[in-house]
Amino acid sequence: MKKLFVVLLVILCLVGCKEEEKKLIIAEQYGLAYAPVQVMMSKGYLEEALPDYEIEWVKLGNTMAIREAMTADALDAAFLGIPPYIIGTDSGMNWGLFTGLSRAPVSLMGREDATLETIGDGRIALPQPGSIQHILLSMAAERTFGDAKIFDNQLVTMKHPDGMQVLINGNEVDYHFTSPPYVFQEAEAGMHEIISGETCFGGEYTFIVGVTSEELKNDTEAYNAISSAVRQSMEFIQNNPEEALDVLMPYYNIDRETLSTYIYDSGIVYEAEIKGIETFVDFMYRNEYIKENYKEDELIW
Amino acid sequence: MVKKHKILFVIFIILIWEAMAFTGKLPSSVNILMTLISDLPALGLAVFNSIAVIGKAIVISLMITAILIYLGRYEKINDCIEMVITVCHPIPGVALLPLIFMWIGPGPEAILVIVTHAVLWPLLVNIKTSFRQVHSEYKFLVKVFHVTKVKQITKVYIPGMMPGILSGLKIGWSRGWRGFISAEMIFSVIGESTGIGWYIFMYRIFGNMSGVFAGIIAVIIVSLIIEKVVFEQIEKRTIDKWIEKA
Repeated sequence: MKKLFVVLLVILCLVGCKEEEKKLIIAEQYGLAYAPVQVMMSKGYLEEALPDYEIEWVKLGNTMAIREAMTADALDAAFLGIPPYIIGTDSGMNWGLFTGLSRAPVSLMGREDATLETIGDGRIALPQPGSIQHILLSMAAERTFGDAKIFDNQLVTMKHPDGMQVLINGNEVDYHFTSPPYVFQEAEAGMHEIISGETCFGGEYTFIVGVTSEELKNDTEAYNAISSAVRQSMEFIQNNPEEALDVLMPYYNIDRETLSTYIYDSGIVYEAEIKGIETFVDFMYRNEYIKENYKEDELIW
Repeated sequence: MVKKHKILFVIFIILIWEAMAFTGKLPSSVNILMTLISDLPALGLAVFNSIAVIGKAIVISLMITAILIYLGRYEKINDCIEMVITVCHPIPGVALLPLIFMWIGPGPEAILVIVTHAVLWPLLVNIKTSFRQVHSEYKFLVKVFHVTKVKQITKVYIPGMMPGILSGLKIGWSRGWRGFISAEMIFSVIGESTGIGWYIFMYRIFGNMSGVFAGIIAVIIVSLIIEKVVFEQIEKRTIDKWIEKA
């Protein structure tokens, strides 16, 4: 029995202790809106700026996994949509925004042409409640019907590729709120745009933002390095289209020309400015997705 | 009777849990209990919906099993069935999701298909094995004694196969839960009756770990009750009784 206690104590200690090495763990995500992250990773900008650090890139399935990894101190920086970030902050996570990453044309797509008023009780696929797609849809619903939750009982939650498949195949789902490249691929397959994200929001907003833990924020050297690496990657995409395509090609299973159109001519904008955060917070607070109201400068480091 | 060392073990686990909760890696058990109690109606409904789907899947699986065992009397058909089992048994239902979406779309039926897939194969394997065992032991005896077909089934095969049927049902039941929860956490039709997988997922989305564990504990409690009340009772009234008689 005594031995058992000793073993358990040791385990507890191991769990409690943290590694004190200089190490940065960053979540890598898939999607055109994250292109600067892929450039940053391939070009090794961060590794270059921080030679003393060990930099590790991890792939996590979705924003929930990112949040959980951040709670467990297993992640220092990540890129995700504004609403999931705000929900994370609201459930007690101490992290802040350090950069915007992109604005992108997300849209509600439908098999038949329709407007919000004529959707009726058609089924709408989107990633999950609390995702940016869901919040945008709720914003549009609030503006049109005065009730943000009017569509909440006809949602089907599924990942983007699954959603695209069921929409195009016409199986039980009539609409799909999705982001690039699925928006483009659905449009090519003859689906109609019902409403765009910017119309839902009522202006421009940042789609993907970069967040860091407080620890990283306090480590000025690393913090500045990651901020400038993101900017460097954006400039690279802007100024060297051909090379950028070379870097990005291996990540996406599409031909070079299509990728070029998606990145440069489809409305995706890579910029560090963060737009629209207070509108999101106000809306989410008003509709009880979050418990507290936050000011913009509380959220941006 | 619950034994003393089991209770001590549970208390021990809770103590470790609390120590971990203190470091912030786990929600405190008090919070979990509070969520569990305050959420009882929603949780009850979610459990009820889940059991309804798993129950349906078990009934369907039992019917398919009966048909397949009946057909399996012919050696060639049996070989084919064995092959299907070998191929299908290791595949997790969620891996088949894209196919299921393509064929029947994302609805309650899709979840039922995944749960049935989870339940069917372990159930079939267990029942089939016990059938073959009983068959090889008694096929000549029933011939020699001229036992009627009806009596063969009610007095020989069903009693003989009962242990296999029960263990198949037990495994099927737990696999059904797993399949159901993972399917619901991957996709869900909100507004239809959603089950415990959605309940857990919803709390995960909003970063409420107490809610997540409340859902998991509900699954544990329900499984324990079904195990203790349903399966043990069936065992007592069938196998134990038959052994006593013999």
